[in-house]
Amino acid sequence: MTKRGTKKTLTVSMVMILIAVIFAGCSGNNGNNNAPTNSAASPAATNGEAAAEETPAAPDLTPVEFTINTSDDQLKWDTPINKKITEKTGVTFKYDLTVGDQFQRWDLWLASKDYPDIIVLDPKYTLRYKEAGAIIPLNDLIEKYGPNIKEKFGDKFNLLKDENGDIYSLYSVLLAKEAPADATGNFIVQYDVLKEAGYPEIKTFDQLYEVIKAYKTKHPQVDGKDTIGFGAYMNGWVMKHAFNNPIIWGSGLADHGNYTISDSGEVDYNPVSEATKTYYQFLNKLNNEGMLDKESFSMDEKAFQAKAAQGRILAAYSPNWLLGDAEKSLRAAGQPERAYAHIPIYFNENVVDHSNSSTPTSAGNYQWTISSKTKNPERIIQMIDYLFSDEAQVLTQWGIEGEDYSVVDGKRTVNPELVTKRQTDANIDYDRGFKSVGTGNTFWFGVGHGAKLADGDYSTPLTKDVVELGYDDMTKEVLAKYGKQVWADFLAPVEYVPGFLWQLTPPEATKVEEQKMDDTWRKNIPKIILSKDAAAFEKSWSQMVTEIDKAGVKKVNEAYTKLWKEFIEKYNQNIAG
Amino acid sequence: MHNKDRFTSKTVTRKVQKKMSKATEQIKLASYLPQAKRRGFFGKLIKQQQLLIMSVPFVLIALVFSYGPLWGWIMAFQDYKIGKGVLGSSFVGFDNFVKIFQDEQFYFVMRNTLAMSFMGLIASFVGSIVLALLLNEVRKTFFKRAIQTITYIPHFVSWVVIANVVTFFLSPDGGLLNVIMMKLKLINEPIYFMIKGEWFWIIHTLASLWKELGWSTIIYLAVLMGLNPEHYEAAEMDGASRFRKMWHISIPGLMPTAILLLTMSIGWAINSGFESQFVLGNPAVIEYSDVIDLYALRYSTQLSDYSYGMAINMFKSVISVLMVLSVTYLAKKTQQSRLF
Repeated sequence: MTKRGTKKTLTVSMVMILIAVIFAGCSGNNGNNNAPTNSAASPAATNGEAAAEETPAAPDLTPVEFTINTSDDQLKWDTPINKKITEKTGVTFKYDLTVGDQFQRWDLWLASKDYPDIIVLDPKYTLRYKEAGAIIPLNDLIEKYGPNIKEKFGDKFNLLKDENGDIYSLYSVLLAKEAPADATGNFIVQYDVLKEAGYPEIKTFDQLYEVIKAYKTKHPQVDGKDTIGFGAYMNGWVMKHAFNNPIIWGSGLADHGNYTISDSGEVDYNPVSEATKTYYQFLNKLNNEGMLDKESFSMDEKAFQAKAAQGRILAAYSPNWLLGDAEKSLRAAGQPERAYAHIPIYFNENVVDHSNSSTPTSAGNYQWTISSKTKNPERIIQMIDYLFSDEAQVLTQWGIEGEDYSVVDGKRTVNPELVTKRQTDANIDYDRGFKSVGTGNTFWFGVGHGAKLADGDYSTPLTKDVVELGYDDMTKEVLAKYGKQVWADFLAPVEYVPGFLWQLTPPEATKVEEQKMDDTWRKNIPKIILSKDAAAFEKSWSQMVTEIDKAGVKKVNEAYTKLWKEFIEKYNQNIAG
Repeated sequence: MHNKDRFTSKTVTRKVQKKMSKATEQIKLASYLPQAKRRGFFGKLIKQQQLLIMSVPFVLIALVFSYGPLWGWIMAFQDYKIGKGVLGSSFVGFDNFVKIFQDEQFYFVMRNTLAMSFMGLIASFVGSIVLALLLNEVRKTFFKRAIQTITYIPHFVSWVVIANVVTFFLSPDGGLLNVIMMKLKLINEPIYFMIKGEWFWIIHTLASLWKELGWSTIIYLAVLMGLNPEHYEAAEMDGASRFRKMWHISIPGLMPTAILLLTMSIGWAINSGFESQFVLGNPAVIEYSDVIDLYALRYSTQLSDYSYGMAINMFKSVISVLMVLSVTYLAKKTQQSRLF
């Protein structure tokens, strides 16, 4: 009896020790993960304190380091352009890289009150941080240190303000009157597909269907792997680009996210619209004929890019940024014919395209806010103000004179070496420092492609000729067949809109309903698109519509309609006053 | 002859030694007991001071990290806003709990959480005991070690990698399993395993089993090695087969540890985390892959509704405690070893 007892105690204690060890291991890990963020910020802060005591009159150039969040793992400060910025302002950035879900990290920061000095947020989180007192109002600082910011924003300066007249975030302003020459349509079709079909005009989904079907029948495999007629990606936040945005662009509407706005200002949830149904029917047809990527529903955008880089995807909806460097790697691998034409495609011939729209500011998902924990925010504003100056506009968009551009006949011209490098070297813009944490539509608070500076020359090197210089022969050949110079020529003229719905802070009261609607939508898409026949499709579709109705779509539409109408009203007042 | 003699003499000495040490223990105990009784509670405290001092750090850790944060439960009864803090937010009573139980989706995620936890629990319980028993019968040390190492290596691999391996393996676009089945003419077109909702629980259970099997076997193997070899020798003398020995000696020997471990894992059943479901799941199977923690993530953290998340968390804790208590009660009934 006693023997059994001791043995039992032994086992129990052994188990306990094991558990203790496991727990100790786990908690140790957590500790390590949190540590680095703190240590990075403190030396910068002490540096800054010393600097702040000096007189504010002359620009303060004492070295100071600020932390800033980014999800771009290739950004680095050690580049020629960045060094120049440091030389002019004394500021260096330390990039705080977010891997994975940035929203979660923003929440975590907010809860732990531990954030970088400059926090780059979307509108929703800017509001949350503001409510929590985590970021500071910038009005006084801009008044004192931001003459260039005020000058560049000009009559749009009021648009920076919230309902109380406070400015909490900064982003770039758009001064362009012309459309950027590098704009592209959002649908992609492989060059080889067009070539085989004899370069037909593809304007509608039906025409697209015909050409990819013909190609896939003729070439069931590319490099030993199955040809994918139409690519899609459902896993992760990019899913809306595969299952909502093509509908918006296909209808020729301005991109208001998952919503459409009628002329009278009524907001509607797009995933339950008739156009969505038509598009899903198109995808359903592709799927039933084995042309939709078999793996679409468990694939993320990285997998999509990988498949595109293998040259297997014939067509897809993919904005340029989403395609990543797939085309560069195809060209590098000596397969230029597998790269893509970037064109708009519509539901039918009669669609009038209003999708090429632009806002006066780029108050989007990249708003720079300043943490309340920062010791000397005036240095940040001084630096941003420098970035808004004409001198810095040239530096950040054109580069360094002699190295990246030279002045020919009084006009800035990009050096040919840089042009060729940009074609082949995916990292060149990172290495030179042209890329930064986003500020809206541009890097480094650029004022937009096609805008002009005080010297009368373009603020960015992006002209049709320059864009064309970046094309390879295959691209030029394809464009010539269509009688165009650049992809932007396929697009409709630019239309200015006061703003996009996704730039506004979503209504707080309906956030649960909205989450439910999105969940329901995501859950139902595979069922609808994988339907075996029309009847099954109809059934799955109406089931989704009913479920989304039940989740409160009406309430959300009303809330957004109210939000939009208020925004338009405020916008009109702001611009006036 | 000579050898055998030595053997017996050794066994005898061992037995004598054991008896002697037992005797000394009893003497020691006898000398403590009356004293302790005399001095009462405080006498006992002083007697065990070394033990008490040694336990202080652990009690402190538990207090600081497990009991300290409990004050945050207040949030569950508030409309908590980060800016206002716990002190400034208004109280709303049980509203958050009412919200939980009114949400249909909550029952789905509860079902998924419990189903996947118990499937995982049973698979790992049975799987690891069977593997331990089998390994215990292996006589070649090298082979045994190799199998053990190979089976526990996946434990150290992150779930993200495991999920990628599983996804690639099951992919309809050139995935190994589909390719093999196609080659064998078992199927005409590839099966898209990862979007079949009703298969997700099974895929998840198998993936977890693969990842954790070897690891959970280690402890059972240790117990089996510690069993008294005399029992086996005796059984062999009586002509018991391998299977009989397993059934009558190994399994009963394992049971106390097994029940103990089971009790503890049942406490974790509702707290099983979300990592595996998060990386293995996708929107197509969300009805089966969504677990309570992912639900909390989307409807609390992502919407900054921390009160709701706290309410879910409280609910989870209560369920956990109830489950552990009931399993302990059952174990007591069946006279097995138990946690407390």
